[in-house]
Amino acid sequence: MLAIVSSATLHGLDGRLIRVEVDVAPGLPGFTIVGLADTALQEARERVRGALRNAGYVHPPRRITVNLAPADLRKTGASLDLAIAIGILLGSEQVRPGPGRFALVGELSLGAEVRPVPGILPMVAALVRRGFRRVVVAASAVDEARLVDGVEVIGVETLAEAVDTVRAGRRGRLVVRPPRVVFGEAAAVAWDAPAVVPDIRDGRATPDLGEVRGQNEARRALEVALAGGHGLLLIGPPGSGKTLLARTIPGLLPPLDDEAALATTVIASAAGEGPITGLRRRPPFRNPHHTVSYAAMVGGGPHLSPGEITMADNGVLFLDELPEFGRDVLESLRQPLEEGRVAIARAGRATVFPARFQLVAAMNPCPCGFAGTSDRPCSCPVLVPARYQRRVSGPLRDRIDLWVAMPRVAALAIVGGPEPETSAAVAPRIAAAREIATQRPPGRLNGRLTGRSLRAACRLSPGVQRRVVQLAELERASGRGTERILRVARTIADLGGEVDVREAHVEEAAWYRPPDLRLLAAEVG
Amino acid sequence: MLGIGASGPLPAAIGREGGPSDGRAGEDWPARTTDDRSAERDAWAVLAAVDGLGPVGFGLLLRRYGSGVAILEDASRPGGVDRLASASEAVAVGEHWRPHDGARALGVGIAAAAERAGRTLQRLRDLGLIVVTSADDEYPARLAAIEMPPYVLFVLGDPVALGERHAVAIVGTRRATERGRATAVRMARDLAGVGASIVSGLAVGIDGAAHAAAVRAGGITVAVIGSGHANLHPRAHARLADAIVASGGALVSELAPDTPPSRGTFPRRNRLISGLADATVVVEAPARSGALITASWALDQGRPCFLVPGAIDDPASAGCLAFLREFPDTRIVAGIPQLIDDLGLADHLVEPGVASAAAATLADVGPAAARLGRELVIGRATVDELVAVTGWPVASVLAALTVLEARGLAVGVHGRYRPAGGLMLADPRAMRQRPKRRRAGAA
Repeated sequence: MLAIVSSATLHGLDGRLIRVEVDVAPGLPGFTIVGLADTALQEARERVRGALRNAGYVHPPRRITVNLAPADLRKTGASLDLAIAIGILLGSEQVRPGPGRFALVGELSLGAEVRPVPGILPMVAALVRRGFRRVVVAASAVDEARLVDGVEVIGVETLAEAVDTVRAGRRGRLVVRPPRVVFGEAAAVAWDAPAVVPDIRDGRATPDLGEVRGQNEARRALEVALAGGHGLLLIGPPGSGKTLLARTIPGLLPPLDDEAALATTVIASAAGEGPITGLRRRPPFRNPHHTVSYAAMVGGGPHLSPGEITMADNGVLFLDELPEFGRDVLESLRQPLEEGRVAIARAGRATVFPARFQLVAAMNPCPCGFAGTSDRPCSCPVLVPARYQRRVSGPLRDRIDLWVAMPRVAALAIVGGPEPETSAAVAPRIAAAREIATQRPPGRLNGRLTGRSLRAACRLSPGVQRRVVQLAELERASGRGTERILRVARTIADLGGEVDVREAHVEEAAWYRPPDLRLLAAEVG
Repeated sequence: MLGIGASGPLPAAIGREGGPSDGRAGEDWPARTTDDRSAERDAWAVLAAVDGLGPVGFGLLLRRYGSGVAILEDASRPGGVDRLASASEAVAVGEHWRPHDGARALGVGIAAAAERAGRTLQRLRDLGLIVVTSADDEYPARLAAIEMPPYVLFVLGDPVALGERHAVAIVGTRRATERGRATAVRMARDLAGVGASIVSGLAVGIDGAAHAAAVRAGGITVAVIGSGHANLHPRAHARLADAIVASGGALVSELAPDTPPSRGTFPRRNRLISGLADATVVVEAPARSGALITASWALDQGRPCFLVPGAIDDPASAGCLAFLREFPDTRIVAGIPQLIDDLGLADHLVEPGVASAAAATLADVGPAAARLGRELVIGRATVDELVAVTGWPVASVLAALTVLEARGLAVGVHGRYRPAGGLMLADPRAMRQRPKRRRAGAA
């Protein structure tokens, strides 16, 4: 007998409705899945067989054919397990269907437990778009599925519970009535004071800016960079606190608005990032190691999964030891840095991932790492440090608006000196400046302004304009270098709450220029 | 080969020519040259471009042929290569000297040089190079006194700069520390102040700092480069090279303009640095520094050699200390006034007035930048220090520093900044006292 069950798979960041057609027919016993199923899906046969047996049902000794429609769509992952198992039970008439239209999304264990799969949120959203009002998912994924407006989510722990749901229709005791998600409400929960976890050795803890002593220049540059969404590069020897400073970022950024939060949550869901219990309003902070592969950075792979740059969408991508990253990996950042998205094509499939991340990077001043430190001499050949810093080239160079040298802090400054500002003091300034920038046409952060929109935003007086030209000479700047100064100056003015960009803003902005010419000037001067 | 060589002109003259064994051109040769001095100078310049023909070989060939013009003329006549080859071979045997590429290769090289002589001379004119030969009056007497002086110098700038009354070489490591650089700057400034020209090698580090300071102080400075003028190295110093020439100094090389820099050319030019100076000072040299080669040349040439000592556990000074220990003829720099005294230049001491000049450079940069300029001169180097000492917001400090940078009055590496340009020569004591004096005046 033929049974048809609805389910969904993940395609990039999008869910796709899949019709699971199960034909249990007389003939030589066998179990075939057709419809461009990948390996994980083919292995569903073994999981379903075991789950059925261990749940006390019979895996029918008949000819079972599972067709996954639409036939031309490549299907991946284990999200169809539950639907296939229910389809076999219906097709072999071990279970009679109740009333109602529903879809099932979940993976099965051999012990017949229903497990959550990555991408519940986009898959449920896709099912709702296609008219489904009831969805069965693993119990632990209920919170995530309920983020979608207008759907009744039924959480099940085991195959048996799923069978009950199917048999009983909507009257099962397992039905959970979802509260409609009103996004505005969640926003009002506000961003609680940034979590301060003193033990920074814990990889996930966010250190407080108050722990960074000295480094006034870098602290200021970080504030400007976050206020304007500018690319930032920290250059300093090991132990100067580059990484610590960068890791304070999550505690400094304002929470995401509804739209951005939803996009970020969808990406986290599709990437299988931990349990999702609500909208993720904390801007993502991604910190891939420099050995990261091209596919892991950009996204793709057999499952068209999102890469680091997409997971950093609406947040910060932090690249520590920038020159150590593979050349092709850095080169791959070109398109996303310019367009805020990345197009990925794999055999037969193509998709576009969002990638509106802010780039923050750190590097040593030279290959040995000790140029400029007084306590340990640099062992690099002469003039190599300048060349090393010039290696940050092309697209990255143009997208990094602030370059900061971080000398090692004297021991005296670490124990003594004035108490530095904490994240709680700095974050509101950053949020206010971002608010000012996005209120102004064209409604973007200053880091993404160019050309006419940039000049319009800056409203330079002729005197200030002349000053910009003079200062651009410092880096023998082309048009891009001049724009760099203007973008940063606009943000500095925003941080000061000023409408017009003034000379002092421009002068500070020019300070954060790439250091290679400064290094050469120092050799000559 | 031998037969052809024997039939060449004046074979017997070789043995009779009893020139000085140090290989310098014979004292009497100018008397036999043609009246046309400029043609002869051109011929020497052309021969200087021949690979493998050094001062020794050239001197010998010159005595063999009588003049550079004659060498080139003979090279372009049929059989010239063979005659030159056998001549240099015979010369080589007689003088226990061996041309490193073999006599024939040398003959071929000279013939080729003769052929492109026109182009070579045009190239010199295009580059604006002046040729000074050891036969010219402008040839620096100090250099003529050393062993194996180059017979041709290519000069960009004013050749008179090579013959200033007093000249001191200031050399040191390319990996200079800030302290070493500051020492080089003050030393070059003060020596320039007493009228000495500063000779160095245009390398990054100590050399560059000494040149720049001399230029800033309005002195004459001579850079001996280790490559041809068309291959200036390091390229980072192209602007400094322009400034040296513009301020009345000179860029000198014994190498033809298109010679690339290589491992061998730098140690070789070091003998010219010490040779062009009355005395050589090594400011900073770690172990195995090239600056110590210059110091050795100075000793070989019988010129005073001074070294700035350092702390015994400071790797930046290890080379200086080892050199001082090994060679008893060396002298120690006990201070810049003492150095000036030791050099016998104390009589020329004039009030430098550079401190007031530095104060003047700060007059029109605005009060904030001027304040930071003074702090940099005193030795505060990081933004953190400047923020702490002024109590200003970071933003203001960075903006004011940018103003200084834009005026060329401050430069920075790796987050540490120092005075530059006109401010480079400022005296820290004067900067520190200035506000005090003002307060005293007000009281």
